[in-house]
Amino acid sequence: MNKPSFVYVTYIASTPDKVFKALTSADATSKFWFGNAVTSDWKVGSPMTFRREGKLIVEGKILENDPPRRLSYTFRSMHEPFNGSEPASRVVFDLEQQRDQVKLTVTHDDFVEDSKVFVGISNGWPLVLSSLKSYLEANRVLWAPWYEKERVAS
Amino acid sequence: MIDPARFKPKTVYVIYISSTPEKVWQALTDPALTRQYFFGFAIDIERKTGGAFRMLYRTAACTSAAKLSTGRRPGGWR
Repeated sequence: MNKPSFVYVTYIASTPDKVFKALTSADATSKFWFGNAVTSDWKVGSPMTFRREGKLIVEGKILENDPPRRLSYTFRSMHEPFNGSEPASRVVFDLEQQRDQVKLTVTHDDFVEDSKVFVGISNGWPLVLSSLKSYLEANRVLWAPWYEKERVAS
Repeated sequence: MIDPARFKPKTVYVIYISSTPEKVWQALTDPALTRQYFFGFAIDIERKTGGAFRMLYRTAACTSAAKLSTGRRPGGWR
C-alpha cells in the first residue's frame, strides 16, 4: 500500500480565534489563498467549496467543526488537471494555543494510492500556509507562481 | 508540476517568506539577528566551506557544532 499523507506544522503569532476565522472566511481566504474564496455554512455534513474567478476549484463536505480548535473537511480537487478525477481526500486543521501564539497542524490524508493530487497539495500547502502566516502577522499576502504562469499563458 | 512517478517525499520543511534572499541569508548567518529569533542563540560561523559552525547560548556554552558542508551565498563567503 502506498497511501501518502501530508503533515505541515507552522507557528503563527495570533490567536486560535483569528486563525480559525481566517480559514473559514470567504473574504480572508480570497486574500491569502490567491483568490480562492471558501464558502460553507460550516455545519457537519454541509457542502464546502473553494471558487476562484467563478470557477469551482475544490469541493468537499464538513467533517468536524469545533472552533477554534479543530476543523476538518473532505477535499476533492475540481481544477485542472484533476477535474474531480480522484475521490475526495481529507483535510484536518488542529489549532493549539501556546500563550500568544498558535501551533497550526495541517494533516491532509485519505488519498488514493499513487495520488497525483497528493503531489499537487504537497507543493501548494507550504505556500498557502506561509501566506496565511504573513496575512495574520503582517497583513501581507504572498502570491502563487502557478497562477502567474496561467496568466502569462492565457 | 512535479512528475509523480519520480516524486519522493522527504523530511524537508518549506516556508515562503516575503523578503529577499540577501535578507534571509543575513538572518541565518548574523549572530545579532539569530539571537533575536532563535531564542537567544548566537550563530558562530566560519564563513567558508568546511568551516566551523556553532550555536552559542548567552556566554560561551557550545550547544551544537558542525562543519559547513556548502555555502552558496551569491558572490561567495565574505
